[in-house]
Amino acid sequence: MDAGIYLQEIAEQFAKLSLEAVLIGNAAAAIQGAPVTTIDIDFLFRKTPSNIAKLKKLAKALDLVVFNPLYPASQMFRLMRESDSLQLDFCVRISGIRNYESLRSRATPVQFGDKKLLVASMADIIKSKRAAGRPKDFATLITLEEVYAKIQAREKAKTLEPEKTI
Amino acid sequence: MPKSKPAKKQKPLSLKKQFEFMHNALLDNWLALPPERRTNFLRKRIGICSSAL
Repeated sequence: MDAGIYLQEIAEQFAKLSLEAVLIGNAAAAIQGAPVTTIDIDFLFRKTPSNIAKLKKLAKALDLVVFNPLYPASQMFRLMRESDSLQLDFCVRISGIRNYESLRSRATPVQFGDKKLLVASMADIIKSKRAAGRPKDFATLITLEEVYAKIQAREKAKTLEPEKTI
Repeated sequence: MPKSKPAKKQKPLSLKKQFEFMHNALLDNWLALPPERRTNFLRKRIGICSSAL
């Protein structure tokens, strides 16, 4: 199923509410070229009273129900829509990542419609999956590492290209 | 003269190579797309414990 429409909707609402969150997990990996699938769209955000209020506004705007907080360890907020089973998970902390700021500093903005969403770097996604250590994370880890190696090779080739032309 | 049978190891090796070729092609195709078009990743819940793309 194409998540493009959802991501456009989310990016628009993030911009409207000035809510800042970084796209993580398999959704972020897929956007960077990994052939993986997911049932939910995960984000990492800073847990502040203002952001919690924005999360509630986001839920209202997108007709989502907030489940608050689902897992005490990760302090995750799950937002769900009954009509099409859209599921957004907002995590406060994830395995292997020190804090939100460090993840954000390495994230890249990706255009969805008129707005942009911050997408976590592949290195951070791999790091967090390895640290989480769940069987479902290990299942995708090989593919993610393969894609990351290809991305790095492409970037290296790009940086070498101008030298060749000179 | 009877034809010699291919060694047993040959078949899995060719299958492995074929898989590697297809897998590499799949990854290259995905990477060739712009990020905003790599959005066909969402599975939809079907029933209680199953999902589909």
